[in-house]
Amino acid sequence: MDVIQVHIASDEVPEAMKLLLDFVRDFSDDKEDKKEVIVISHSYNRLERQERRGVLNFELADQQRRKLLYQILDFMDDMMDRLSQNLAA
Amino acid sequence: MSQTIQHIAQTLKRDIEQNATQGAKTLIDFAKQYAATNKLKHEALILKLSYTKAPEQEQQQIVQTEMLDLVNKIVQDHLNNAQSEATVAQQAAVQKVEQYFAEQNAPKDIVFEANGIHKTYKRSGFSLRDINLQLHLGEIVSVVGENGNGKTTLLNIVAGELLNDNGKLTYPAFEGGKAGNITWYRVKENIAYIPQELPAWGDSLKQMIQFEAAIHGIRGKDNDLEVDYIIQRLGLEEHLNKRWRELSGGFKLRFALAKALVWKPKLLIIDEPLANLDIKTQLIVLKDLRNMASSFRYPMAILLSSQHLHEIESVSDKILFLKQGEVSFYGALDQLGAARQYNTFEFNTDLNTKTLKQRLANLPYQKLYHTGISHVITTDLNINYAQLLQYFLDNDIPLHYFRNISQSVKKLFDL
Repeated sequence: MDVIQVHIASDEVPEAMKLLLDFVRDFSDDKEDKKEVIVISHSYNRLERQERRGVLNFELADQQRRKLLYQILDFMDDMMDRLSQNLAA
Repeated sequence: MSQTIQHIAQTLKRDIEQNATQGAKTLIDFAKQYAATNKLKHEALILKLSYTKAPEQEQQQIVQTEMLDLVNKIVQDHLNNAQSEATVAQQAAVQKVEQYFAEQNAPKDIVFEANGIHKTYKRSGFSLRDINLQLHLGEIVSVVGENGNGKTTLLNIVAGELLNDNGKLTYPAFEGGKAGNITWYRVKENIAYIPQELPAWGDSLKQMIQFEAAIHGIRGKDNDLEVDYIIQRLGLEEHLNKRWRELSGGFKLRFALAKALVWKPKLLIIDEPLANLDIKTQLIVLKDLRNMASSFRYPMAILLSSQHLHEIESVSDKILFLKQGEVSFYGALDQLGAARQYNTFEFNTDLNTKTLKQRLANLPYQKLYHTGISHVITTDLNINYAQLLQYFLDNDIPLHYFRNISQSVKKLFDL
């Protein structure tokens, strides 16, 4: 989880996404988790493309980026909570 | 404690005002240590990224102000919540999960074993001889050697694409994989093979991957999910609408990987995956292969051949060096050169050979020669790379490039 956060902070979000995809593949039994991460990845890629092509200005892109990053980080927290509950059970 | 955190917060705010880039990093550590709620920790990370991405000073100043506000919020959060039951319980739960993962080991079953494999090509007379090899889940084994020394032959034998003349093959982890009684169609259900020359695909790139998943039993909504997953994982979304011939070499390989990996094989065999790739794509592909092999739930053995020695050293667990059809070295990277008699270093300098030799006069080296690309120098074992570098510095030998190849795959080639 720390590694994913380090990548995000270092402007390496694609790397963070790969690790998140790997994490869900390996540690989640819930297909909805996989779907959620795929959607987040797809949304982030689309955002980057739009920003590269100048379709979005910085403020709009930053707003959407923050929303997606919160989604990633909240998703990780949620997974950790569920994993810890499974361990306790 | 509350005075301490406020003092730290004041220092941090000054740092952010003077150097927001550095201050942002410290803010993340500050949030990690003092914020009780995850939301504030997340905000610190996101603000750092926002600051990095802000193209103009005006936008950077806005983010800087947000960072200063966040410091205040964290202080307040800490004073309100630090010792609350919920916070302590949450931190304990995260630690427990992290500790659990640190202790887990992915399976390392043997997926392939070869003993005394022989294969002769009657027309050319070339023979692959006496090959012994083991492949484990989670492991990457790289086959290296000069051209025409049997690398592709070996990969084809392991993939079941070519029959060996003698020797024993076993696929212990696969149904139908017992030595002497191999049921090839069952064994091959677990093997993905990517040849060096990639065959062209038909119309729709996504459909090819979907089809591959379907013939391996992944149907319906699962098929959609797994295909979407591998497309995102390998960064292929932007290229889905292209035709095969419009793809670069790098993306052709990545689509071939997607097709191979979507159904999660236990053994992946790739012949020269780095051949047509730029350096950046090589590193991406190797990193992806390393992560995929090491999957906790779906570990995979990878056997690949390559001429990119330096790059594959960074990801391989073992190296198999073929020389004229025989194994000259097979083992872990740290065993390479373990029994060496001397150290070997590669370097490039602007000095001509005469001047270089003059400046090396006081260094007790064994051999110095030029390969056509770089100088190579061999020394006794008591001269390590640090001492050699210091000698170069002290004797005004300018360097463009320096590498210790004493325990490198490169040493296996007689250069």
